[in-house]
Amino acid sequence: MAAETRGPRRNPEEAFNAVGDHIGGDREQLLSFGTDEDLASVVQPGSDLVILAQVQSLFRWAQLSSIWPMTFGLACCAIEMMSAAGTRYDLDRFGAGAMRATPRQSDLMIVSGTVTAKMATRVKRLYDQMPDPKWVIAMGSCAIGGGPYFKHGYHVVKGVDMMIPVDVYVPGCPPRPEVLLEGLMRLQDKIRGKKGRLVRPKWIDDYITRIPD
Amino acid sequence: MTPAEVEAGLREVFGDRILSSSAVEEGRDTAWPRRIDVAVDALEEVCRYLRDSQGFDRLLCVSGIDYEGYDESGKGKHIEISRYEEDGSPTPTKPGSGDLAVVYHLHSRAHGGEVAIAARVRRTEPKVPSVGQVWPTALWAERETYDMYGIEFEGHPDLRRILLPEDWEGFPLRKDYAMPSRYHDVPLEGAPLAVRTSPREVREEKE
Repeated sequence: MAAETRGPRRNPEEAFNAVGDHIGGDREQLLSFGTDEDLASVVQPGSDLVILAQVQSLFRWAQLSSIWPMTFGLACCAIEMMSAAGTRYDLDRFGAGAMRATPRQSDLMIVSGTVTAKMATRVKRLYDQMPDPKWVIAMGSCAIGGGPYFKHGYHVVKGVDMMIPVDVYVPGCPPRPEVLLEGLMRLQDKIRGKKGRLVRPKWIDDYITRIPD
Repeated sequence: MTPAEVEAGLREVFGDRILSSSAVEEGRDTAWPRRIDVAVDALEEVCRYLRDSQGFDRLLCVSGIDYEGYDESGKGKHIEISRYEEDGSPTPTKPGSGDLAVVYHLHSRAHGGEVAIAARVRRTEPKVPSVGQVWPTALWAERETYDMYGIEFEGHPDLRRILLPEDWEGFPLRKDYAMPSRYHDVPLEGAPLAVRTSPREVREEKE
Protein backbone atom coordinates (compact mmCIF):
# COMPACT_ATOMS: atom_id res chain seq x y z
CA MET A 1 0.00 0.00 0.00
CA ALA A 2 1.47 3.32 -0.98
CA ALA A 3 2.33 5.74 1.75
CA GLU A 4 0.41 8.69 0.36
CA THR A 5 -2.90 6.86 0.68
CA ARG A 6 -2.80 7.10 4.47
CA GLY A 7 -5.73 8.91 6.02
CA PRO A 8 -9.40 8.96 5.22
CA ARG A 9 -10.38 8.78 1.60
CA ARG A 10 -12.85 11.30 0.35
CA ASN A 11 -13.83 9.20 -2.59
CA PRO A 12 -14.68 5.56 -1.95
CA GLU A 13 -14.28 4.83 -5.61
CA GLU A 14 -10.63 5.67 -5.39
CA ALA A 15 -10.04 2.98 -2.79
CA PHE A 16 -12.08 0.62 -4.85
CA ASN A 17 -9.85 1.17 -7.84
CA ALA A 18 -6.77 0.49 -5.78
CA VAL A 19 -7.93 -3.07 -5.27
CA GLY A 20 -8.61 -3.64 -8.91
CA ASP A 21 -10.26 -1.65 -11.59
CA HIS A 22 -13.96 -2.36 -11.80
CA ILE A 23 -14.23 -5.75 -10.18
CA GLY A 24 -17.67 -6.74 -11.30
CA GLY A 25 -20.20 -4.66 -13.06
CA ASP A 26 -22.38 -3.69 -10.12
CA ARG A 27 -20.67 -1.50 -7.66
CA GLU A 28 -23.50 -1.68 -5.14
CA GLN A 29 -22.72 -5.31 -4.50
CA LEU A 30 -19.17 -4.53 -3.54
CA LEU A 31 -17.74 -3.43 -0.28
CA SER A 32 -17.22 0.24 0.06
CA PHE A 33 -13.88 1.21 1.49
CA GLY A 34 -14.36 4.48 3.24
CA THR A 35 -10.92 4.71 4.73
CA ASP A 36 -7.56 3.26 4.12
CA GLU A 37 -7.84 1.19 7.27
CA ASP A 38 -11.01 -0.40 5.92
CA LEU A 39 -9.14 -1.28 2.81
CA ALA A 40 -6.23 -2.74 4.73
CA SER A 41 -8.54 -4.88 6.82
CA VAL A 42 -9.63 -6.76 3.74
CA VAL A 43 -6.31 -8.48 3.50
CA GLN A 44 -6.50 -9.67 7.10
CA PRO A 45 -7.91 -13.16 7.42
CA GLY A 46 -11.42 -13.18 8.74
CA SER A 47 -14.62 -15.08 8.19
CA ASP A 48 -16.81 -12.03 7.77
CA LEU A 49 -14.78 -10.39 5.05
CA VAL A 50 -16.11 -11.53 1.72
CA ILE A 51 -15.97 -9.72 -1.59
CA LEU A 52 -18.83 -10.42 -3.90
CA ALA A 53 -17.89 -10.17 -7.55
CA GLN A 54 -18.50 -11.89 -10.84
CA VAL A 55 -15.74 -14.42 -11.17
CA GLN A 56 -15.45 -13.64 -14.85
CA SER A 57 -14.70 -10.05 -14.05
CA LEU A 58 -12.14 -11.14 -11.52
CA PHE A 59 -10.45 -13.29 -14.14
CA ARG A 60 -10.47 -10.39 -16.55
CA TRP A 61 -8.89 -8.18 -13.96
CA ALA A 62 -6.19 -10.79 -13.41
CA GLN A 63 -5.61 -11.11 -17.14
CA LEU A 64 -5.32 -7.42 -17.80
CA SER A 65 -3.02 -6.94 -14.84
CA SER A 66 -0.46 -9.47 -15.98
CA ILE A 67 -0.24 -9.37 -19.74
CA TRP A 68 2.98 -11.14 -20.57
CA PRO A 69 4.26 -10.11 -23.99
CA MET A 70 6.42 -12.28 -26.13
CA THR A 71 10.01 -11.27 -26.80
CA PHE A 72 9.46 -10.80 -30.46
CA GLY A 73 10.99 -7.96 -32.42
CA LEU A 74 10.95 -7.76 -36.18
CA ALA A 75 12.43 -4.41 -37.15
CA CYS A 76 13.13 -0.91 -35.90
CA CYS A 77 9.88 -0.78 -33.91
CA ALA A 78 11.43 -3.41 -31.67
CA ILE A 79 13.93 -0.81 -30.52
CA GLU A 80 11.06 1.33 -29.28
CA MET A 81 9.46 -1.72 -27.70
CA MET A 82 12.69 -2.45 -25.85
CA SER A 83 12.78 1.14 -24.73
CA ALA A 84 9.21 0.87 -23.49
CA ALA A 85 10.19 -2.19 -21.51
CA GLY A 86 13.25 -0.50 -20.09
CA THR A 87 13.61 1.56 -16.95
CA ARG A 88 12.57 4.91 -18.37
CA TYR A 89 9.10 3.92 -19.59
CA ASP A 90 8.80 0.72 -17.58
CA LEU A 91 6.15 -1.47 -19.15
CA ASP A 92 6.19 -3.41 -15.90
CA ARG A 93 4.08 -0.71 -14.24
CA PHE A 94 1.15 -2.15 -16.16
CA GLY A 95 2.01 -5.73 -15.36
CA ALA A 96 3.32 -6.31 -18.86
CA GLY A 97 7.01 -6.32 -18.14
CA ALA A 98 7.61 -10.04 -18.10
CA MET A 99 8.78 -10.59 -21.65
CA ARG A 100 8.63 -14.29 -22.28
CA ALA A 101 11.04 -15.96 -24.65
CA THR A 102 8.53 -18.57 -25.69
CA PRO A 103 5.05 -18.26 -27.14
CA ARG A 104 3.76 -20.94 -24.76
CA GLN A 105 4.01 -18.58 -21.80
CA SER A 106 2.84 -15.45 -23.58
CA ASP A 107 -0.48 -13.64 -23.62
CA LEU A 108 0.38 -10.82 -25.97
CA MET A 109 2.18 -10.70 -29.28
CA ILE A 110 3.47 -7.25 -30.13
CA VAL A 111 4.14 -7.40 -33.87
CA SER A 112 6.81 -4.73 -33.86
CA GLY A 113 8.05 -4.21 -37.36
CA THR A 114 7.88 -5.19 -41.00
CA VAL A 115 6.33 -8.57 -41.67
CA THR A 116 8.05 -10.01 -44.71
CA ALA A 117 6.73 -12.91 -46.71
CA LYS A 118 9.48 -15.05 -45.28
CA MET A 119 8.64 -14.12 -41.69
CA ALA A 120 4.86 -14.23 -42.03
CA THR A 121 4.62 -18.00 -41.72
CA ARG A 122 6.70 -17.82 -38.55
CA VAL A 123 4.46 -15.10 -37.14
CA LYS A 124 1.43 -17.26 -37.81
CA ARG A 125 3.04 -20.29 -36.23
CA LEU A 126 4.09 -18.37 -33.13
CA TYR A 127 0.57 -17.01 -32.79
CA ASP A 128 -0.87 -20.48 -33.06
CA GLN A 129 1.48 -21.70 -30.35
CA MET A 130 0.29 -19.12 -27.84
CA PRO A 131 -2.29 -20.35 -25.35
CA ASP A 132 -5.70 -18.73 -25.12
CA PRO A 133 -6.61 -16.09 -24.18
CA LYS A 134 -4.20 -14.22 -26.41
CA TRP A 135 -4.01 -10.76 -27.86
CA VAL A 136 -2.12 -9.04 -30.64
CA ILE A 137 -0.87 -5.48 -30.93
CA ALA A 138 0.14 -4.38 -34.42
CA MET A 139 2.88 -1.86 -33.73
CA GLY A 140 3.96 0.61 -36.37
CA SER A 141 2.96 1.42 -39.91
CA CYS A 142 4.52 -1.71 -41.40
CA ALA A 143 2.57 -4.10 -39.23
CA ILE A 144 -0.62 -2.09 -39.74
CA GLY A 145 -0.58 -1.69 -43.50
CA GLY A 146 2.80 -2.27 -45.03
CA GLY A 147 4.21 1.13 -44.17
CA PRO A 148 6.64 2.50 -46.74
CA TYR A 149 6.44 -0.81 -48.65
CA PHE A 150 2.70 -0.60 -49.19
CA LYS A 151 2.83 -0.32 -52.98
CA HIS A 152 6.02 -1.76 -54.39
CA GLY A 153 7.25 -3.90 -51.54
CA TYR A 154 7.45 -7.22 -53.31
CA HIS A 155 8.34 -9.06 -50.11
CA VAL A 156 6.13 -7.36 -47.48
CA VAL A 157 2.79 -8.48 -46.10
CA LYS A 158 0.71 -5.31 -46.27
CA GLY A 159 -0.71 -5.56 -42.81
CA VAL A 160 -0.26 -8.36 -40.31
CA ASP A 161 -4.04 -8.47 -39.88
CA MET A 162 -4.18 -10.51 -43.07
CA MET A 163 -2.41 -13.28 -41.17
CA ILE A 164 -3.60 -13.06 -37.58
CA PRO A 165 -6.42 -11.15 -35.83
CA VAL A 166 -5.25 -7.86 -34.37
CA ASP A 167 -6.73 -6.29 -31.25
CA VAL A 168 -5.00 -2.93 -31.06
CA TYR A 169 -3.28 -0.91 -33.77
CA VAL A 170 -0.49 1.39 -32.63
CA PRO A 171 0.41 3.81 -35.43
CA GLY A 172 3.74 5.51 -35.88
CA CYS A 173 6.96 5.01 -37.74
CA PRO A 174 8.12 3.91 -35.31
CA PRO A 175 5.73 4.74 -32.46
CA ARG A 176 7.32 6.27 -29.43
CA PRO A 177 7.24 4.20 -26.25
CA GLU A 178 4.46 6.37 -24.86
CA VAL A 179 2.26 5.37 -27.77
CA LEU A 180 2.92 1.72 -27.15
CA LEU A 181 1.98 2.25 -23.51
CA GLU A 182 -1.23 3.90 -24.68
CA GLY A 183 -1.91 0.92 -26.91
CA LEU A 184 -1.32 -1.41 -23.99
CA MET A 185 -3.77 0.54 -21.86
CA ARG A 186 -6.36 0.40 -24.61
CA LEU A 187 -5.82 -3.35 -24.74
CA GLN A 188 -6.40 -3.45 -20.99
CA ASP A 189 -9.63 -1.56 -21.54
CA LYS A 190 -10.61 -4.10 -24.14
CA ILE A 191 -9.94 -7.01 -21.82
CA ARG A 192 -11.82 -5.22 -19.06
CA GLY A 193 -14.83 -4.90 -21.29
CA LYS A 194 -14.87 -1.22 -22.08
CA LYS A 195 -15.68 -0.19 -25.57
CA GLY A 196 -12.93 1.66 -27.31
CA ARG A 197 -13.47 5.36 -27.63
CA LEU A 198 -11.33 7.89 -29.37
CA VAL A 199 -11.81 11.44 -28.24
CA ARG A 200 -10.24 13.87 -30.63
CA PRO A 201 -8.40 16.59 -28.73
CA LYS A 202 -9.42 20.17 -29.29
CA TRP A 203 -6.08 21.19 -30.71
CA ILE A 204 -6.58 18.79 -33.61
CA ASP A 205 -9.89 20.44 -34.50
CA ASP A 206 -8.24 23.84 -34.28
CA TYR A 207 -5.42 22.63 -36.47
CA ILE A 208 -7.74 21.17 -39.09
CA THR A 209 -9.75 24.39 -39.41
CA ARG A 210 -6.57 26.32 -39.99
CA ILE A 211 -5.44 24.16 -42.93
CA PRO A 212 -6.06 26.12 -46.16
CA ASP A 213 -8.04 24.40 -48.88
CA MET B 1 48.31 7.24 -57.53
CA THR B 2 45.79 9.21 -59.54
CA PRO B 3 42.72 8.00 -61.45
CA ALA B 4 44.48 8.68 -64.73
CA GLU B 5 47.42 6.51 -63.73
CA VAL B 6 45.14 3.63 -62.80
CA GLU B 7 43.35 3.86 -66.11
CA ALA B 8 46.57 4.19 -68.06
CA GLY B 9 47.91 1.07 -66.38
CA LEU B 10 44.75 -0.84 -67.21
CA ARG B 11 44.81 0.24 -70.85
CA GLU B 12 48.44 -0.72 -71.16
CA VAL B 13 47.85 -4.24 -69.91
CA PHE B 14 44.40 -5.01 -71.31
CA GLY B 15 44.27 -2.86 -74.45
CA ASP B 16 40.90 -2.68 -76.11
CA ARG B 17 39.26 -4.90 -73.54
CA ILE B 18 38.94 -1.71 -71.50
CA LEU B 19 35.85 -0.28 -73.15
CA SER B 20 35.30 3.15 -71.68
CA SER B 21 35.64 5.17 -68.53
CA SER B 22 33.93 8.02 -66.75
CA ALA B 23 36.87 10.28 -67.60
CA VAL B 24 35.87 10.11 -71.25
CA GLU B 25 32.11 10.10 -70.78
CA GLU B 26 31.72 12.71 -68.07
CA GLY B 27 34.98 14.60 -68.19
CA ARG B 28 35.81 13.62 -64.61
CA ASP B 29 39.54 13.39 -64.99
CA THR B 30 40.83 13.72 -61.46
CA ALA B 31 37.98 12.64 -59.24
CA TRP B 32 37.57 9.33 -57.47
CA PRO B 33 35.81 7.07 -58.02
CA ARG B 34 36.55 6.49 -61.65
CA ARG B 35 34.17 4.16 -63.37
CA ILE B 36 35.80 1.87 -65.91
CA ASP B 37 33.82 -0.40 -68.21
CA VAL B 38 35.55 -3.61 -69.12
CA ALA B 39 34.70 -6.56 -71.31
CA VAL B 40 33.10 -9.45 -69.47
CA ASP B 41 35.81 -11.96 -70.31
CA ALA B 42 38.47 -9.66 -68.88
CA LEU B 43 36.67 -8.97 -65.61
CA GLU B 44 38.45 -11.42 -63.35
CA GLU B 45 41.88 -10.61 -64.77
CA VAL B 46 41.25 -6.89 -64.36
CA CYS B 47 40.26 -7.38 -60.75
CA ARG B 48 43.30 -9.53 -60.04
CA TYR B 49 45.56 -6.98 -61.71
CA LEU B 50 44.04 -4.11 -59.73
CA ARG B 51 44.45 -6.00 -56.48
CA ASP B 52 48.05 -7.16 -57.06
CA SER B 53 49.56 -4.30 -59.04
CA GLN B 54 47.48 -1.23 -58.22
CA GLY B 55 46.86 -1.83 -54.52
CA PHE B 56 43.07 -2.11 -54.59
CA ASP B 57 42.89 -4.56 -51.74
CA ARG B 58 39.32 -3.97 -50.64
CA LEU B 59 36.04 -4.78 -52.34
CA LEU B 60 33.42 -2.36 -51.12
CA CYS B 61 30.32 -3.37 -52.98
CA VAL B 62 28.95 -5.53 -55.75
CA SER B 63 25.85 -4.15 -57.43
CA GLY B 64 23.75 -4.76 -60.47
CA ILE B 65 22.23 -2.48 -63.07
CA ASP B 66 19.23 -3.08 -65.29
CA TYR B 67 19.53 -0.97 -68.44
CA GLU B 68 15.92 -1.59 -69.46
CA GLY B 69 14.47 1.74 -70.55
CA TYR B 70 17.77 3.47 -71.27
CA ASP B 71 18.01 4.99 -74.72
CA GLU B 72 20.88 4.66 -77.19
CA SER B 73 22.99 7.30 -75.52
CA GLY B 74 22.52 5.64 -72.19
CA LYS B 75 20.87 8.67 -70.64
CA GLY B 76 17.15 7.97 -70.54
CA LYS B 77 16.27 6.56 -67.18
CA HIS B 78 12.51 6.67 -66.83
CA ILE B 79 10.55 3.47 -67.07
CA GLU B 80 7.10 2.53 -65.95
CA ILE B 81 7.45 -0.18 -63.36
CA SER B 82 4.81 -2.78 -62.73
CA ARG B 83 1.82 -1.53 -60.78
CA TYR B 84 -1.38 -2.96 -59.46
CA GLU B 85 -4.74 -2.79 -61.16
CA GLU B 86 -7.84 -1.69 -59.30
CA ASP B 87 -8.69 -5.27 -58.36
CA GLY B 88 -5.25 -5.85 -56.88
CA SER B 89 -3.77 -7.90 -59.70
CA PRO B 90 -0.42 -6.80 -61.04
CA THR B 91 -0.37 -5.20 -64.46
CA PRO B 92 1.12 -7.45 -67.12
CA THR B 93 4.57 -6.41 -68.15
CA LYS B 94 6.36 -7.25 -71.32
CA PRO B 95 9.73 -8.90 -70.94
CA GLY B 96 12.58 -6.45 -70.85
CA SER B 97 15.24 -6.25 -73.51
CA GLY B 98 17.86 -3.99 -71.97
CA ASP B 99 21.25 -5.20 -70.89
CA LEU B 100 22.25 -6.06 -67.37
CA ALA B 101 25.48 -4.99 -65.76
CA VAL B 102 27.44 -5.78 -62.67
CA VAL B 103 29.56 -3.16 -60.89
CA TYR B 104 32.40 -3.72 -58.46
CA HIS B 105 33.46 -0.86 -56.24
CA LEU B 106 37.07 -1.18 -55.17
CA HIS B 107 39.00 0.76 -52.59
CA SER B 108 42.67 0.95 -51.81
CA ARG B 109 43.82 1.23 -48.25
CA ALA B 110 47.31 1.99 -49.55
CA HIS B 111 46.61 5.19 -51.50
CA GLY B 112 42.90 5.84 -50.84
CA GLY B 113 41.78 5.50 -54.43
CA GLU B 114 38.42 4.16 -55.41
CA VAL B 115 37.34 2.73 -58.76
CA ALA B 116 34.19 1.13 -60.07
CA ILE B 117 34.61 -1.73 -62.51
CA ALA B 118 31.53 -2.37 -64.63
CA ALA B 119 30.82 -5.22 -67.00
CA ARG B 120 27.76 -5.29 -69.22
CA VAL B 121 26.08 -8.50 -70.29
CA ARG B 122 23.16 -9.48 -72.49
CA ARG B 123 19.87 -9.97 -70.73
CA THR B 124 19.33 -13.27 -72.51
CA GLU B 125 22.59 -14.69 -71.19
CA PRO B 126 23.50 -12.91 -67.94
CA LYS B 127 26.73 -14.68 -67.07
CA VAL B 128 29.71 -13.03 -65.40
CA PRO B 129 32.87 -14.63 -63.99
CA SER B 130 32.98 -14.67 -60.21
CA VAL B 131 35.72 -12.75 -58.47
CA GLY B 132 35.45 -14.81 -55.32
CA GLN B 133 38.95 -16.08 -55.92
CA VAL B 134 40.26 -12.52 -55.80
CA TRP B 135 38.28 -11.16 -52.85
CA PRO B 136 36.50 -13.86 -50.80
CA THR B 137 34.05 -11.26 -49.55
CA ALA B 138 32.63 -11.10 -53.06
CA LEU B 139 30.91 -14.43 -52.58
CA TRP B 140 28.05 -13.16 -50.47
CA ALA B 141 27.75 -9.93 -52.43
CA GLU B 142 27.51 -11.89 -55.65
CA ARG B 143 24.84 -14.08 -54.14
CA GLU B 144 22.85 -10.95 -53.37
CA THR B 145 23.32 -9.63 -56.89
CA TYR B 146 22.13 -12.98 -58.21
CA ASP B 147 19.19 -12.84 -55.83
CA MET B 148 18.03 -9.43 -57.01
CA TYR B 149 19.04 -9.38 -60.70
CA GLY B 150 19.47 -12.99 -61.73
CA ILE B 151 23.01 -12.43 -62.92
CA GLU B 152 24.82 -15.76 -62.76
CA PHE B 153 28.39 -15.76 -61.52
CA GLU B 154 30.36 -18.53 -63.15
CA GLY B 155 32.81 -20.23 -60.84
CA HIS B 156 30.90 -19.27 -57.70
CA PRO B 157 31.02 -22.27 -55.35
CA ASP B 158 27.59 -21.75 -53.78
CA LEU B 159 25.40 -19.59 -55.98
CA ARG B 160 21.92 -19.51 -54.47
CA ARG B 161 19.58 -16.88 -53.09
CA ILE B 162 20.74 -15.16 -49.94
CA LEU B 163 17.88 -12.88 -48.87
CA LEU B 164 14.72 -14.15 -50.49
CA PRO B 165 13.32 -17.64 -49.99
CA GLU B 166 14.91 -20.24 -52.21
CA ASP B 167 11.69 -20.93 -54.09
CA TRP B 168 11.00 -17.28 -54.86
CA GLU B 169 10.09 -16.63 -58.47
CA GLY B 170 11.70 -13.86 -60.45
CA PHE B 171 14.31 -11.28 -59.65
CA PRO B 172 12.77 -8.27 -57.90
CA LEU B 173 15.11 -5.49 -58.90
CA ARG B 174 14.76 -6.17 -62.59
CA LYS B 175 12.54 -3.55 -64.13
CA ASP B 176 10.23 -6.05 -65.82
CA TYR B 177 9.54 -7.80 -62.53
CA ALA B 178 5.86 -8.46 -61.86
CA MET B 179 4.82 -7.86 -58.27
CA PRO B 180 3.42 -10.99 -56.65
CA SER B 181 0.18 -10.79 -54.72
CA ARG B 182 0.86 -13.85 -52.59
CA TYR B 183 3.69 -16.15 -51.63
CA HIS B 184 2.46 -19.70 -51.04
CA ASP B 185 -0.29 -19.27 -48.44
CA VAL B 186 0.92 -15.86 -47.33
CA PRO B 187 -1.19 -13.06 -48.81
CA LEU B 188 0.88 -10.01 -49.65
CA GLU B 189 -2.17 -7.99 -50.68
CA GLY B 190 -5.75 -8.19 -49.61
CA ALA B 191 -8.33 -7.56 -46.95
CA PRO B 192 -7.76 -8.19 -43.25
CA LEU B 193 -9.25 -11.16 -41.47
CA ALA B 194 -12.64 -10.77 -39.83
CA VAL B 195 -12.38 -8.49 -36.84
CA ARG B 196 -12.29 -10.47 -33.64
CA THR B 197 -15.61 -10.26 -31.85
CA SER B 198 -16.29 -11.60 -28.42
CA PRO B 199 -18.87 -10.88 -25.70
CA ARG B 200 -16.39 -8.75 -23.88
CA GLU B 201 -16.12 -6.48 -26.86
CA VAL B 202 -19.78 -5.89 -27.55
CA ARG B 203 -20.60 -5.39 -23.91
CA GLU B 204 -21.60 -1.84 -23.22
CA GLU B 205 -19.66 0.11 -20.72
CA LYS B 206 -21.74 0.93 -17.68
CA GLU B 207 -21.83 4.55 -16.79
